[in-house]
Amino acid sequence: MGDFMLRKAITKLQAVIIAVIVIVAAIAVVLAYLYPLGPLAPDVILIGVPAPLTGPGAQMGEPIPWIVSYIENVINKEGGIFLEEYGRKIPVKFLLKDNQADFDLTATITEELIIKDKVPLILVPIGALAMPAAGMKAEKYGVPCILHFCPASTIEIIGPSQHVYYTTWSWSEVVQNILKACKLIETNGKIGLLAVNNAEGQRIHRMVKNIAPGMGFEVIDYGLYSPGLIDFSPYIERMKTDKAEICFAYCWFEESAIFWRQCHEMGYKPKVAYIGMAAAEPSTVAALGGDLGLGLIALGLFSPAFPFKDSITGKLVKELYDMYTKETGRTAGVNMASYVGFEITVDVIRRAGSLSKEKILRALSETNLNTAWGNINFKKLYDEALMKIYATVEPELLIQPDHTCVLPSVIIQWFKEDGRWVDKIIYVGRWTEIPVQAKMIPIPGSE
Amino acid sequence: MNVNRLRLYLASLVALLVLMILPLYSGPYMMMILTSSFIYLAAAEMWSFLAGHLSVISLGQQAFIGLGMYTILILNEIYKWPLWASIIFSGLVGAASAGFISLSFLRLRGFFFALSTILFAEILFHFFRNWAFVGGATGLRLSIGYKIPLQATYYMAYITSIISILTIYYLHNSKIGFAIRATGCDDEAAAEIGVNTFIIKAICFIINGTITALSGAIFAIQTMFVHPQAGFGFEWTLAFVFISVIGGVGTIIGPIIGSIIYVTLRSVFAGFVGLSMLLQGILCIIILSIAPTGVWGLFSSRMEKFWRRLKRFS
Repeated sequence: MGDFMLRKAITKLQAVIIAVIVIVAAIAVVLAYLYPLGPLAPDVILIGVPAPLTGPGAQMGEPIPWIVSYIENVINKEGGIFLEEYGRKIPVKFLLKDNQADFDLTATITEELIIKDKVPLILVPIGALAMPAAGMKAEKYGVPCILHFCPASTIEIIGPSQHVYYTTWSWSEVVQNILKACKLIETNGKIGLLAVNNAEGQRIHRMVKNIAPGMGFEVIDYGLYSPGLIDFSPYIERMKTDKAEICFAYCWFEESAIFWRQCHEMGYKPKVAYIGMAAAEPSTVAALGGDLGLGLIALGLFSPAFPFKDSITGKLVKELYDMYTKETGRTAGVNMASYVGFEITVDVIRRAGSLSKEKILRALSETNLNTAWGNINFKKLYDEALMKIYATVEPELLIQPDHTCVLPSVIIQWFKEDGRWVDKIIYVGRWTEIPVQAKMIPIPGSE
Repeated sequence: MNVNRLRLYLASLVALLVLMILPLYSGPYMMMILTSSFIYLAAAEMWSFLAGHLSVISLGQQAFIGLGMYTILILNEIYKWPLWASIIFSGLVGAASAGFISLSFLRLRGFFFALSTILFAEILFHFFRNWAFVGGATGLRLSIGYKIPLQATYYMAYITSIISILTIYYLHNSKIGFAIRATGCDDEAAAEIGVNTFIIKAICFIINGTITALSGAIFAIQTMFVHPQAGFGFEWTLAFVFISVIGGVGTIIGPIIGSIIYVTLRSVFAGFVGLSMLLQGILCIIILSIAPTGVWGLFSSRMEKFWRRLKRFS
C-alpha cells in the first residue's frame, strides 16, 4: 500500500510547479482585492446625434457632417476625453443618424440610439420638426438629452422634464426686435401681415397683431396661409392696394422664395420686408435669383459677426465660417449654430468625467460655458430686459421652463458685396456686446 | 381539412407563439423594430386588401391614422378615460369616418374615389391644425406613453396586426369572400348576379378605417406626441403603398414582408449620412424591377416552378 502511494505521489519538480502556481494565484487574489480593476473601458465615447441630413430640413443639417468630423479630429488628436472611471482618455464618436426631419423616424432613431447603441447622451443639434420626438424618447428612457437651437413650441410640448435641456431663442424678443428695426427707416407704418399656418406661424402672427399697434404701427392682417401654397397673388395684390410699406410675411422654406418672387413680378416693393425662411441663409438668398435678396431683413440667430469664441479651439465665429467654406466649398449660414450644441456636449462629458447618466445630468445642470453663441447656463434666470419683453408680448411665458437657456438673437439685413451675399447686423436689441455692422437701408426701388 | 391547409395553420400558430413569447427573450431593440413593423403591418394589410381584392384605391389612409391618434389624445389625455376604452373608441371613430366616406364617395370610381379620400384627409388635417383645444399646429403630448413599457406597446401592436390578418383571412375565405372577389374582378358583372357591391365595398372600407385608426392610436402611444403633420401626413399612405407593393399587393404575406423591409431599411439607412433617402429610393426601384409582383410574388412563383420541376424529376 505504502509503495503504491509513493509511486503515485508527485515528483519534487511537480511539487515546485504546483507551489509556484498556488503562490502566484494567491498574490493575484490579494492584489485584485487591494487594487481592484475598474470596469472594462469602451473603445469610444458614443454620443447619439439625430439630425436632418436629407429631406425637407436637409439645408439646416448641411454643415453637421463637417462639424462632427472637425470636432472629433480636434478632441481625438489629444486622445479623447478623460473618464475617471476608466482612468484614461477615450476618443469621442458622434453617432450621426439621418432623421430626414421626420417625426416618426426621429422617434425610432432616438429609441435605437438609446437601447441598441446605449449612448449616454443624445444631442439634437438642429431641426425643429423632429425635436419633440427625440426629447420625449430621451425623457421616457431617462437618458440626458440636449435639444439645441430648439423653438419654444417644443419646450411647451415636452413639458417639465428631468433629462432634457434646451438652448432656445425668444420669438417674443425677435418679433419685438423686427418691429423696432422697422422704425429705423421712415415708412407709413402700415404692416401687411401674413404667416404660414403652423406652430411658429400661428405664434408669430398672434404676437405681431398684439404688439404692433402699441408700437405705433397699423396692422393689416391677411391671416394664415396653408403650407404648400404656390400662388400668393391675392395676398400680394391686397398688400399693394393697402399700400403696406412694411411686409411681415413669415413664410416657410420654398413658399418664402415663391412669395418674394411673386411680389417682384407683381411690382410690390415694400420699404421693409421680412419674408421668413428664404432670407435665412446666403444660399437661400442667392436662390431667390438676381438681386431680389437685397435689403431683406431676417432673424440673425447666429452670425459670423458675433464676437464670441468657440470653447473647444478658441476660434472666432467668423474663423469657423471661413474654415467651413475653405474645406467644403460651401457657404455657411445660420445652420452653423449647430456647432454650439457639440461644444456643450464636449464640455458636459469633460466635466462629468464619466459615462454615468447621473453624473452627465449633474454636469448638464451645472453648465456655465462661454460658447460661440455666448454664455450657456441652464440655471440662469431670465434677465430683467427679457422679462419686460415677455410681459409686453407673451405674458404666459413669464414663468421660465426648467433647463432652458435663451441665446442671443439680432436682426440682420442682406447686402451684396463683390457678387457675394453678406448679412450685416442692423439691430441688436438687448445684446449690446454684439456690434451693429450697418445702417438699415430701404429695399432698393421702393422709394 | 387538407394537408396544405393544416401545414399553414401549424406554421402560423408556431409563428404567433414565437412572436408572443419573444419579449421575454429578445432585447428591447428587436422589440422596438417589431412594434413599428406591427403598426405598419396592421394598416398596410388593409390597404393591400382593398387595392388587391376590391380595386378600391384609398390615398387618404392618413385620415384614419390621424383620427386614431387624436381620439386617444382627447379621451385619454384630456378627458382621462382609461387607456383600453380610448383605444377601442379610436377604432370606432375610424369606423364612423370610414362609414361617412363610404356613404359619400364610395359610389365614385377609381381615380375620383382616390382623390376624394385625399381631400377628406386634407380637410381633417386643416381642421386639427387650427383646433386650439388639441394644441393646434403645435400638437400635444400623450403622457400615458411615458408610463407604458415597451412590452405593452409591443403586445398592443401585435394584437392589432393579428386582428387585421385574421379579419382579412376570414373575409377572403368566408361566403362574403366570393362576393368580394366578384366585386373586385368586375363590379358591374357582380351586381348583375345579385351582389350588392356597394355594401361589400362599404363593409370592407369600414373595417379598413377601424383597423387603421387602431394602428394610429397605438402609434400615438409609442411616440407619445400627437401633431397634425404626424397624424395626417401623406407619408402614411405612401408607406402603406410602399409596403404593399414591395411585399406583394393582395396577399397576406406580402405586407408582412413589406413592413419588415420598410421599418428595417429606414432604421439601417439612417446611418448613411446624407444618402438615406436616395438609397431607399434606389433599393425600392431595384426590388420592383426584379420583382414587379412584390417579394412574396417572386418567391411564390419561384417556389411553384421549383416544386413543378421537382415533381417532374421524381
